[in-house]
Amino acid sequence: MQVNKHLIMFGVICLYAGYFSVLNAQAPTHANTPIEIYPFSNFQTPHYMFFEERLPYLGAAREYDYPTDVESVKIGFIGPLEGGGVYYTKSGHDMLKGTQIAIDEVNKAGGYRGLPFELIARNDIGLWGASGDELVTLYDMGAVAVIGSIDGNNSHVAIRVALKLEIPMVNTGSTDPTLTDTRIPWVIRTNPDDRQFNYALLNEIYNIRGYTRVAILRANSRYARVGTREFVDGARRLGNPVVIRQVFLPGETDFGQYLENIRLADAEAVVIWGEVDEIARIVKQMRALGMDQAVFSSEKVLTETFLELAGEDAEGVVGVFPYNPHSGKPELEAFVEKYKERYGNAPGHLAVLAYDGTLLLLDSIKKVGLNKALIRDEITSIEEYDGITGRINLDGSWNNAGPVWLAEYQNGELRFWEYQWKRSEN
Amino acid sequence: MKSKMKKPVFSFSIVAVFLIVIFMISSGFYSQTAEVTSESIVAGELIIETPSVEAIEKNADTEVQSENKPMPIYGDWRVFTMADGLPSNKVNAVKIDADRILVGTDRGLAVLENGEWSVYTPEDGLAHRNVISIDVNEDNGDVWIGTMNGLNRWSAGVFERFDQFNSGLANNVVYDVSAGPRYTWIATTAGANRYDTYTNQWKIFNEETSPMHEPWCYGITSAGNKAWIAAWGGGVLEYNNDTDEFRVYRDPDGHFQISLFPDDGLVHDITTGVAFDNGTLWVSTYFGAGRYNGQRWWGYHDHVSGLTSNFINAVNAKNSIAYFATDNGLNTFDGTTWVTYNTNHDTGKGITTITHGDTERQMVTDTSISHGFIWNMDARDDVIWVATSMGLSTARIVGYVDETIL
Repeated sequence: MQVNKHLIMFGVICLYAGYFSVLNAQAPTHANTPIEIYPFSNFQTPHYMFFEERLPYLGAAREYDYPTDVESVKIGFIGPLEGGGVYYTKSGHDMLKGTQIAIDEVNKAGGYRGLPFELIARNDIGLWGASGDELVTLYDMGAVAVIGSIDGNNSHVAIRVALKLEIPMVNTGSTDPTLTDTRIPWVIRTNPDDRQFNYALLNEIYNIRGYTRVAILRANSRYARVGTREFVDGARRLGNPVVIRQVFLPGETDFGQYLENIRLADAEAVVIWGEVDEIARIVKQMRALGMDQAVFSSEKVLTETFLELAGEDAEGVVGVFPYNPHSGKPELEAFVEKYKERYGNAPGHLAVLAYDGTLLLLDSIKKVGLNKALIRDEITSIEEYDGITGRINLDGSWNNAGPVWLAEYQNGELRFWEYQWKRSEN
Repeated sequence: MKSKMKKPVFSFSIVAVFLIVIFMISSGFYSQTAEVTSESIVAGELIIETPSVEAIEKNADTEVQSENKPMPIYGDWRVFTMADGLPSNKVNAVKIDADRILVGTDRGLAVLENGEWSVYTPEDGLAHRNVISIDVNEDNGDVWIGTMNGLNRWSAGVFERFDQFNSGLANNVVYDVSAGPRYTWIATTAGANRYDTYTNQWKIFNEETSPMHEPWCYGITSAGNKAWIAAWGGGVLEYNNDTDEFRVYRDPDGHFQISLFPDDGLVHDITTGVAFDNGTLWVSTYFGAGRYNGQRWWGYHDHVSGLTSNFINAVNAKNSIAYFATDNGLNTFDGTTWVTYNTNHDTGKGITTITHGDTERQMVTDTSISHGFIWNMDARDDVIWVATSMGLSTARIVGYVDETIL
């Protein structure tokens, strides 16, 4: 009998544990943030936490008249296509190509009730706010939805215009974490952002590899500032504030002084954020100076361009990536083959991400028609989407909250693994 | 033997209780009961005791009263749609200009004068058909019109166009405009402007020429020698014309996903509008509303006040009353009492809700605002005009909040 009581007690404990595990397993709050690095988690419970629920759209746009007597269904595209740096515009064209393949595939399968989807691409490189003007142009041209963009500034400008124009947008390329924090109920982002990438790096650097003295060397740009912010905050919350932050100016090619400062700070690892050519140059100069600190960076180091520029010095560099290109998923491999056949080279990750985001959008349009508000309703109702990149999980702010992958150059090859937060023992 | 048998049972119970407590703590039991996640317990760190939000807000309400002016109740609603002569039912902006009403829609500017509607489009010189902001220079009568593709000055029947290529306009997407006696202030999607109507000189304020954290300007207002800019992601910037200096108001916690403390400063950095009236700065955001009297801030969220939604498109203020255009009704507030207006889309009846402290009174009215999604509004004397997602609405003051109503 005594044993039975023990068993009953144990059972109660298990039920308790199970019950509260279920509670904790409910949909992530914002961005799937690990509890240890949630803002002020070591200090004070916030009196209000936003993004716990998705914002409903309460406007009247569902009741507006939308033209149905069209010859094609126009899909807008904004991205960096002309006039910027060579690597930047390559990204834009990669994204455009991925979008075009998705549209062609859907058109081949019948398009929208027999009507073809028509892609209208606009360049958003220009003066501040060019993307806003371009979005207005796309709206005037009759686009029912828009794909884009990559740059955080331009994407921000565009989504605010989208809010006023009430036109749905799918962002497939910007990694600016603040983009969907704006709570605009017309915009979703299908690619993971720098917040997710930062979490993965924090976990790998502090929780897995056990480094405590980490330096940041980043570009003096909004992209790099916003892109490393979560890392800086997270490092502090984990009890290991970044030991030194160095900011280089656009166009700089000699990073010797910054690297010397990092060496003097006795850093064990360096997180580098910038454009791919800048990162490659920094890594090469580090190694040439005899600095053997571990190097961590963004998805930009997991590209053929980086490998070409960094050469043997790429060895040991760790980056984060929005999906696992070695997953072996048949749909992904089919896309890669199709891309190679059409464009003569393997797709960059922005092409793959754009393909996923475009298919999600076109699937939604096919389901609900050409009413922009209904398209909005459909894309913002999605919680999980199975793309060629894998699972796309949209959180309370319609942002892709992972999963993300890390990869390291080992013997000239990239080894990928999925990021899983390891709870700190402290 | 008996005692020997009992001891392990007792020990097991202690262990069991301990484990239960551990499970409760680690699984967030306390956070569930506290309504918000309490990670600080998990982290095993000290929690600082603070008064409840309700207590703080109640204190705030009793500490700062409006100027004892009665809180008006609007009613006798009248609705205008395309059937009445509007070019579109999507109404973005409205401005009372003496005896006429200027209305910005996504298909042109509509003017109601002497009971007749006139419509102006790009063919007449309008910079773009999508009109999103309007203001009037009360000294000379010039009308300033912000559109999705440029700014217009409508003067003596002529539309003069300003854009990025023929002027110092920061960007062609003009979200807000504020016309003072001398300076016209403009909020664009990529910076703000001050246009000197005496000298025709432009000043551009962006991340390079001002302490603007982000240059995406959404709202702007001016009064006396100052102007206030609602910079989306950058809080509120106050500019002093006399000293050419800025003062910046930001959310003290610095994070978009939370509000750490109530009333600790600007409620959120993603600001959408600003209004200044009678010494008080009112701010709208997509995360609640704010009020600043020059000494301290109050924040308002929909779960702990009469505010009907945290998603606020714009704010206006007249005679010590703030008007908030939310996605879930028109909200009016004098610092003490909320009166909100919405519609029951099924019955067509209006819903007027009065909230004063813990007391809430709801009234169903025969007439109603045309839609609950409000873009903008303007009030003067005893009349209010409201731009909604589905039509234009107007109402007049039909009473005041007093003890008998509450």
